[in-house]
Amino acid sequence: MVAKIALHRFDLTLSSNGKAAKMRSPWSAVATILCAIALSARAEEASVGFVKALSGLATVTHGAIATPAALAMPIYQHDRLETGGDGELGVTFRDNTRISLGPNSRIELEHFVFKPATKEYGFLLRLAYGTLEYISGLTEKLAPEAMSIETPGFTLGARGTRLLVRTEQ
Amino acid sequence: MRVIALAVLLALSGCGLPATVVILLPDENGTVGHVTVHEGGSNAELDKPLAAVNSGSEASLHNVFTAQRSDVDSEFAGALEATPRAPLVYILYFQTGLSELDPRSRDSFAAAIAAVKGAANIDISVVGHADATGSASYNLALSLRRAETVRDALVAAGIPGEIIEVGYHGANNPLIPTPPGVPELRNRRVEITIR
Repeated sequence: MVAKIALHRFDLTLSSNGKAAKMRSPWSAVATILCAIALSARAEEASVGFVKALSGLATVTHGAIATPAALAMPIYQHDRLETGGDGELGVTFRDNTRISLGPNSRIELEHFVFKPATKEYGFLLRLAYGTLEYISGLTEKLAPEAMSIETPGFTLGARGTRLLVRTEQ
Repeated sequence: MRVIALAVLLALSGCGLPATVVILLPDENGTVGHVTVHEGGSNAELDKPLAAVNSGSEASLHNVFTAQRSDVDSEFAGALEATPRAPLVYILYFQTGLSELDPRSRDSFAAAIAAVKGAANIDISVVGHADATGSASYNLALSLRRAETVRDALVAAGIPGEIIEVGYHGANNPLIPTPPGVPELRNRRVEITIR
């Protein structure tokens, strides 16, 4: 048997995309301060994916702050992604999982942990309503039981899969 | 029976897919995966191309059907248009104990550079690995040096450092599992993933 040595502290991301630290819209002092608090709380947290495709109106909500989606915008655990009536949004995660939303859709990224060095995995997406395409990445390959997609009515477990889901509000 | 009658009605009426539905698609490389739909105490298994189920109720899970491609393409047009491009992975190999790129990996490196320069809105992971010779701490440090070597080479080739994330796994994540102490070229590597 191979001796597995778990060295939790060393599964580090040394440098991450610094875009999270940029302010986007200094509408008011209050908004700026709220942004600063939200972003500084997140500064130690690595992003888990990036916006790769976008059309029409889509929104990314970090904590209590909703921001119009933009290409290359980082996505974090617990973010909520929504599209408007003409919106389409595609995200690629750090484990190579890809998702895309059609118009009038909302998902919540409930949980995302991807640490192959210490074999820690978790990926839970919740589709509140709308249309979702999902294409599996490394989490599903390395730890299939760690991946699931929930909707208000049902739960999906997938294995090496590309799938489409639609659910009503 | 009511479920079947409903499905027949839907098919005849040309209404397309149910409002609440799960559909299995072939992967981009043509292989077909597997989805299990759980609702209450019932399950549906989808394992054929375009296998679909109305997931709106437990009872409807018993009726797996084959979706029409034209319905899928029209009713999921938005999501299908926004599919991100497939990530590309390039693997570079290293000699035992060294963090200099093996000359035999130059072609892979050049291919990675070309892929980066041909794409917009990308993020890159550079993850270093070691084989199972040497101590754990030695291998972690070695895999980090390898990843940094590749990162520096990417930056020297004109790729902005801020889109590159460096990681290292020591000998913990081998492509080819081996007993401790066994050298294995395929594990002495850096993986460049372009998303």
